[in-house]
Amino acid sequence: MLPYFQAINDLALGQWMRTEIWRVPAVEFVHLIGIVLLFGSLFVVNLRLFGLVLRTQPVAEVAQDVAGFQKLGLLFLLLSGPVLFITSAVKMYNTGTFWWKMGFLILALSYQFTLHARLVRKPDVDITPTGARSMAAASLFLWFSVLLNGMWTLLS
Amino acid sequence: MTLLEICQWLQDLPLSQQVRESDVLFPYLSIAHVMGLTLAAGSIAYLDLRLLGFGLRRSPVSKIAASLLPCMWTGYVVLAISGSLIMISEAVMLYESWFFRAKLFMMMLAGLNALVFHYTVFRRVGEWDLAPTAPLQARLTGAISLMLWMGMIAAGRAIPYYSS
Repeated sequence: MLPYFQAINDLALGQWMRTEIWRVPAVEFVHLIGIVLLFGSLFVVNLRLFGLVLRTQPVAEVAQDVAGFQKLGLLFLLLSGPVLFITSAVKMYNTGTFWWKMGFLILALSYQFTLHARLVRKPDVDITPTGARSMAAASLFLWFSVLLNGMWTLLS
Repeated sequence: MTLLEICQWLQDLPLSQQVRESDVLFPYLSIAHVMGLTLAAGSIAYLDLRLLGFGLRRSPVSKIAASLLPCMWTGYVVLAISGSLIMISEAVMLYESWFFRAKLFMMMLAGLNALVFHYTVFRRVGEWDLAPTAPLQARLTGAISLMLWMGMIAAGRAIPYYSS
C-alpha cells in the first residue's frame, strides 16, 4: 500500500501545502474550529442525556437545535482532514495512531448517525435512563478516541 | 529584572526542564490543552451562538449559561494548567513570539468581554431570556467572544510554526 500513499503524498495539492509555512497551520485552524463545533455539540447533547445540562428542555429539541452547527463542524473536519492527510500521507502510513483514528472515525460516524441519532429523536421510548446514559457515554468515548489518536498522530 | 530575564528564569526551573526533556510530558500537555479547548471553547461557542440567535434558540439564555458553566470552568482550569506548563518550558521563545503576545492580549480581551457582559446586560437576562433577538449588547458580546476565541486558536496554532 505504501506506493499509493507515496503517490498521494506527491500530489500537487500536497506539494502546494508544503511550499509555504502558513498553509499547514491555516488548515489546522479550520480543523480545530471543526473540533470545537463538533465537540461542543457532543457535550451539550450527551450531557443532556445524562441529565446534567438544560434539564428543562426536551432531548430531541436540544439535539435538533445544535444539529446544524454539529454538521458544520463535521464539514470543516472532513474538508480540512483530507488536505492535512495529503500533505503528509507517507508519515500517516507509518503512524499507527493514524490507522486507529480512522478506525474510530468510521465507528463514531456510523454510531452517531444511526443508533445515537435514533435515540435523541425519541429519547423516552424503548430505552431506560441507564441505557440512554450508556449510549451518551459511548458517543463521547468514540469521538474522544478519534481526537486522542489524531493528537497523537500530530505529535509523533 | 526585565521581562526577558523572568522568562529565562522560568525556563530554567527544574519543572520546565522536565517538560522539555521528557518524551511524553509535552505531548500529554498538548493533548490536555486541546481537550480543555473542546470543553471551554465548545461550550462558550454554543452560548455565543445563542446570544446571536443561532443554535439553542429554544433554550433560555440563563439556563444555557448556568448549565454550561461547569464545563467552561473545567475547560479553563485544564487550559490554564497545561498552558502554563507548556509556557514555562519555552518561555524565552514565547517572549519573542508575536503570535503568543497576540494570544495573551486576546485572552485578556475575552475575559474583559465576559466580565462586562456578566455585570451589565446579563443582570437583566430575565427580560430577554427567551427573546429570539437578544439585546444589541448581548449580540455584540457573542460576536466579540466568537472572534476572540477564533483569534486565540489561530494564534496558538501559528506559534510553533513561526518560532525560531
